[in-house]
Amino acid sequence: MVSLYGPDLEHVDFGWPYDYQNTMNKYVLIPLYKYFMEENPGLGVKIPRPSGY
Amino acid sequence: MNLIIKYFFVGILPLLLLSCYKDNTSIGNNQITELDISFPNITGAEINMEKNEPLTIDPVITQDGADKAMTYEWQVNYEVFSTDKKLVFPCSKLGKYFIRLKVSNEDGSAFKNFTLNVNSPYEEGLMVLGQNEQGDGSLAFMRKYSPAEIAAGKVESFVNNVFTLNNPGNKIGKNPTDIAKRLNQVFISSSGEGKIYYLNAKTFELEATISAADYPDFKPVAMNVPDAGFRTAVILCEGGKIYNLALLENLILSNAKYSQTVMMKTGFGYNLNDCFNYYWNPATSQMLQYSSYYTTNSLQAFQNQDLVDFFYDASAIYVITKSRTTPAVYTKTVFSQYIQNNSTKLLDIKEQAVLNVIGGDPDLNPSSPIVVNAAFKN
Repeated sequence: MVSLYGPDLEHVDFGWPYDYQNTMNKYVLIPLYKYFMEENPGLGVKIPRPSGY
Repeated sequence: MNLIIKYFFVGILPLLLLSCYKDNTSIGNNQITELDISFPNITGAEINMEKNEPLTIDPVITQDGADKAMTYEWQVNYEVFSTDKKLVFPCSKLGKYFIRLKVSNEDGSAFKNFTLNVNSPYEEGLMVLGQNEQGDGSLAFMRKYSPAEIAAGKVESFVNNVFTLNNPGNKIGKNPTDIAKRLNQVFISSSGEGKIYYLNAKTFELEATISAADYPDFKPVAMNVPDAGFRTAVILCEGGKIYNLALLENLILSNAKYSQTVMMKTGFGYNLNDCFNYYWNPATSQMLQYSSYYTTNSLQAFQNQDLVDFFYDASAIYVITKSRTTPAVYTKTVFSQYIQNNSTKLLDIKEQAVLNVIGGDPDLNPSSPIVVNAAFKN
């Protein structure tokens, strides 16, 4: 995944990397959701609840 | 006059000087020993071997003159593999190899080559996952031979411990629980280790070891891995917990759709569009169905009933239950794959009948073997 898209996923130039959607869910979206919606809701960042969480 | 002098120096003088050279050379008269190479056990320019079946060649070298000291050089894909006379090639990797023997003596060299194909012995056959008395897992494989191969003397027999054979230094570990093939993947679960091993189906070489450090209760017992292109499978763990396995990403995820504890039994079936996973929730006496698009259950169909068994067959889920109030009454209920109608959410029962069980208890029980995998049935 890193070799395809770079360490910061900067080369994902399309909507959603379906081949890696579980990885994205587990390591990107769920931590994002936890951080912004559960631990720091005061920051005001809205993250939709990821599937599988 | 100048022209004559010029011709003299350029043309005639070199000839005059050359004529003064005394030639003492003679034609070679030493007998050259020519080499001839033959491989006794190889006929033709191409041979086929199976993985892990060592190829041994003891070449016969003849010299048509005096016996002279010889050196040997076995080349594999144009690189020196061995300088011994006898070749022992392990055939440990699948592939096509160009093999050449170079034999040299003081007079020159001779070459002989052939092509070696190292093929998979695991293309078709029977896998058996087992464990010894100490609980250590092992994998055995029996290759299926064609009638022509059997007529040629091949005998179908089990090769034991192919996991370690193809992955030196690695073991399945304690309490292996399930094995499943998906296209070019083979998955083996181990509840004792809390891991799933992903092997290449053609080589049985370990591609990945999947564990879930973030889920301490991940002790896989059964894997609903269809032999098709689905990317996610459902894993039943000890204690009746369900997890998802991302088949291409080697990742364990919690299953948010079914967080309740289920009975330690599962079955599954699939078609081109979806994979249907079935569980029994003893707390609610419900059949649960979990698939890509729908999560359904049997609502109140089995109130006051205990499960006897369930299995999937021919695009339907069969459920055998026993009445709690009248234990002698057994009921067979046949649902469609989704159990509920996806639009109306009503139960989609294709058939329901009270079974006439002769002599008390039927042979089936909740721990009956799973025989729902279509590939297994075939």
